[in-house]
Amino acid sequence: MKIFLTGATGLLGGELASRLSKSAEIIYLLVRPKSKIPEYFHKPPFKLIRGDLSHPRLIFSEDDRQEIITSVDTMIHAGAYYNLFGDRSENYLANIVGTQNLLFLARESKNLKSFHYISSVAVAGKFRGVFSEDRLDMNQKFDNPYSETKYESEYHVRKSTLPVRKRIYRPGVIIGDSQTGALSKKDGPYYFFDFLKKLSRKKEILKKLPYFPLPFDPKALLPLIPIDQLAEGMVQEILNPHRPDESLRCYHLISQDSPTIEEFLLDSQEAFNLSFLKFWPLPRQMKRVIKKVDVLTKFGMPSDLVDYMYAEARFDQEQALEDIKSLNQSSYQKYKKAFLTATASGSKGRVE
Amino acid sequence: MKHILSLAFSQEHYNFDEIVEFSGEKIRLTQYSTNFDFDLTIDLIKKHDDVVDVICLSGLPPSLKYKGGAFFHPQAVKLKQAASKTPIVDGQMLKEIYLPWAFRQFFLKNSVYLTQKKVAFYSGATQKAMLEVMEEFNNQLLLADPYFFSKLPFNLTSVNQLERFVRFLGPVFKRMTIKKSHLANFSLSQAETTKSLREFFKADLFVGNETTFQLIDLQHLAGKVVITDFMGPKLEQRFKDAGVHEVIVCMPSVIKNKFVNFSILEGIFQAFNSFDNGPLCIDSILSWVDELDLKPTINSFTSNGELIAPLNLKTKFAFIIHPLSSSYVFKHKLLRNLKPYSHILGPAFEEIAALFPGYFYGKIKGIRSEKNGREVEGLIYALPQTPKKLLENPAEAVYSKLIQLCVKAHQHGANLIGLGAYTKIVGDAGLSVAKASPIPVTTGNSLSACSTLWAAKFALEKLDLVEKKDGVYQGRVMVVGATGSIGAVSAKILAGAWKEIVIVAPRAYKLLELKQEILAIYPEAKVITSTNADSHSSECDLIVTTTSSRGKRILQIEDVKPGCVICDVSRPFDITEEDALKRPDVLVIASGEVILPGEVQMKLDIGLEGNIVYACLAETALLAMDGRFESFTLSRNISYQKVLEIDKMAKEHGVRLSAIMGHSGFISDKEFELCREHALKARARRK
Repeated sequence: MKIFLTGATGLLGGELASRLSKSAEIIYLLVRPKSKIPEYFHKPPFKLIRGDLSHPRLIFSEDDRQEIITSVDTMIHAGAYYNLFGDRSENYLANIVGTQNLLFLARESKNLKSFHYISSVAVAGKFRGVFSEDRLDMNQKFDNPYSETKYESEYHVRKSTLPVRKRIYRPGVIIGDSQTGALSKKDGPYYFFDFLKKLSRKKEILKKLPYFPLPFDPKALLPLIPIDQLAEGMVQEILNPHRPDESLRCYHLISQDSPTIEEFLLDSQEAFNLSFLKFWPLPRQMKRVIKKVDVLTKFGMPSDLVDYMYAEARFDQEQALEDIKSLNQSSYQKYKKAFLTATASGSKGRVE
Repeated sequence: MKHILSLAFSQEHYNFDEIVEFSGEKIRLTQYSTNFDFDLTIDLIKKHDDVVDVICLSGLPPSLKYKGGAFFHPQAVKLKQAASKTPIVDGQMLKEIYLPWAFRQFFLKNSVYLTQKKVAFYSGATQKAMLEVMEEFNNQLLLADPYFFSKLPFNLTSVNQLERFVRFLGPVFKRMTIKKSHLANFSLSQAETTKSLREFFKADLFVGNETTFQLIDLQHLAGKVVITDFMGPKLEQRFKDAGVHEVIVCMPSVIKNKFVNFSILEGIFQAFNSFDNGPLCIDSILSWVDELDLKPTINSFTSNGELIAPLNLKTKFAFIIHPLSSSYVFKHKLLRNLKPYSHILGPAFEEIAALFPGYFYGKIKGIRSEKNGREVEGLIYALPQTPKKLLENPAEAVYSKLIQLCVKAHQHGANLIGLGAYTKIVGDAGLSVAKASPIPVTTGNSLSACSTLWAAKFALEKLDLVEKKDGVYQGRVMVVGATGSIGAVSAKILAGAWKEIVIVAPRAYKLLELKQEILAIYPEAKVITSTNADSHSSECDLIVTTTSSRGKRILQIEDVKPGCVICDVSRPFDITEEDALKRPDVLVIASGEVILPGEVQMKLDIGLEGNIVYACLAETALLAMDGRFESFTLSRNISYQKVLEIDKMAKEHGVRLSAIMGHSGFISDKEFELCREHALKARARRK
């Protein structure tokens, strides 16, 4: 198998690269000229290709380009801009322009058999109800540029006329390893843990408070997925597709028993010894004000985090559970201990 | 491979990256829609500078030249200068050169439909090229610029006003950043509170560019005609959903399976510029326009949403009616409540009403030709004078009222006007009205004559008393007043369908002339001439009377053959109602009325039932459907050719006989049967 992988320097891309290296013939990694690259990517089966997703030519050297067009049979698009602090322009360039350029390259590739695209559950935006794997456009609105640009790029993948097997993965919020809790990148819940850590230093004052106001909807779903389970499931599908004949499948990759925000808060309060705190959920109507005043940034959290605290979508997992067997084992109840203790016991498990 | 980047500033979710073919060469065409995000657009330009061949910007406010200055939006200027190497185009040069030319050509070709219309521009400022052409063609302009740009509740009505508006508010606009929320959305709900918008929505033609239509609410376009610079598949669907009647697209599709806007097209020209990447010049654009043979196209949507071709603009005709007796005066909505007292008030109101000028009575909508699918709308005007008053008053006074109505109809977009009932009898039968009227005038007599003959044929077949052989009736027909206009025409037509024909008129020399004319057409015909109707009436199966005897008795009804059909085409009638009642075995037909094709909506009372209309009204509608805006029938002379022509036209467009009128209303099937019974009995008795 000859794989072209984007986003190898990212969290999920790196994980995928190392897992795929055991069975792939060659893995071309698209990296920016100035990226820091881990040592083991320099050795076979990896081959570094210098380029830039947001550049229309994508690959700088014409020889590299020819090599990829003629040989590659699998493309994995894990390159995206994910930064809750990022602005629209950066999101747009990496996600929409990047995807469009890669699709252009894919159309030119003569040997391509499959195209794997990593989307996100964020494409559901402000959708209320059960979000299906079959569909994308549910007339949903978006409140942050990440969701909007991810939606748009998934739309392009779905719409493109590539005559190959297309797989779309929509992972939830990626957390650390299910066994050790280790994660190499700071993401949504981790900003919140930092906040809890700050709070736990001021226990004396907090104990006097009858309630602590927090912007969240107790019933909102927190779609979690540990990085190892996610990568394992994807590698499974990439190497041995469950339904090789179907041209398009889309998967919601989240733990089946993902907690609600309320459950998650209770668990993390316990882990941080803050069980005495009574959180008072601010009503949804205040969401706009909170975003405008930018309260969260003052506590070290990105303001777009609010959107996740009030998410209203549930995710249908029919295709994911059918095609990706390992997902059935992913259980929040099983890994929550490892995950919470790793984060609560300082930043040991986390490499920043 | 050349690479062209298009940045659609005012659109969202409309990106693509494709290889297209243009004059035999492949181009990579990439589009990103940035949804009014200025920083993003700048970033995208910077990213693609010196990488792609051309960058095309669309959806930006254009630069405007006016007397003594010009308006440039600073943001647009900044975007156009953002690249240091790659040329940036915005399509304005192409628009300025191509549009006025193409549009003028189109207008000249279809000027009948496109003059004297209310033309609405969402923003005249962004479409100045078209605006100037429209003004030249005598259209009433409505520019919603104040509302479009800053939600101010008034419309502009000329190019001059627009220039003043831009000059005055330009400095303000320059300070505003371009945002979607600044633009108005033209929704129907806003019209409830904005008077200027209500007025705007009443227009016939709406002119806008693709960007504008993508941003606004299209509900108000139901049944209207739209002119747009280009139409992509997305917009086409939206137009269909909104129920737009017709779309005129100025930019045909140049590239296979892909709709490109002006900006991209200019970009393509730039990329293929033979003068080696220098800026495009007017000459090279002209040569491209010529080479590609660019011209506007028309798309019409039928009610089920399918595309049909070609030009299908809704046209209007006008028609004048008047009350046939004093009791009709009480059909006016203000007088409706007085109807119970009409027998007392009638004479007085007849006098009073005659003092008033004519007024707009109502509309007939949804008339649609079966031949070419063109929809026409009838504006019905009423002249509140009874036949008595019309004939009593001096003809000049009636003319001036009729001419007033013609002018009014013209102002409301009618291309043709028809004179109904007695208004065409007054004076010289329409000649003087037609001379002073701004639009062609027709009396509708051709179709009246035609439909009466249809009715006669229908009645004869219904009674079934005359034998027919090889399409020729084996009986005798008489035309009384045969040397008159309708008489001569009827005689000529009937001569071919009957075994024997009797032509009756008071002047013998004219009769002999007519006989020769008939024999020239049908050498086989057997023509009998007579100056007295009664001498032959007992042997005739059909009698057509078209005299102008004004009530003088011309026929002894007692002598007529039982089972005879008498067609009384004269107005006032030759056969009085009393006479008709004397002979139940004789069928007296006053006229044949018709129905119009299409889903006709008629919410006004013209004295007939349902959707049935007068034949003369139908002639006016027919001429409008056929696009023949001419004074088809005028004066008392009707020509034989014209009757044949209108007969053909009526059959093609789907105007059909629907009811036969006697002196006292419709003749029902039962009456036909009764008449037949009486006739058979009377014939038996005579034998």
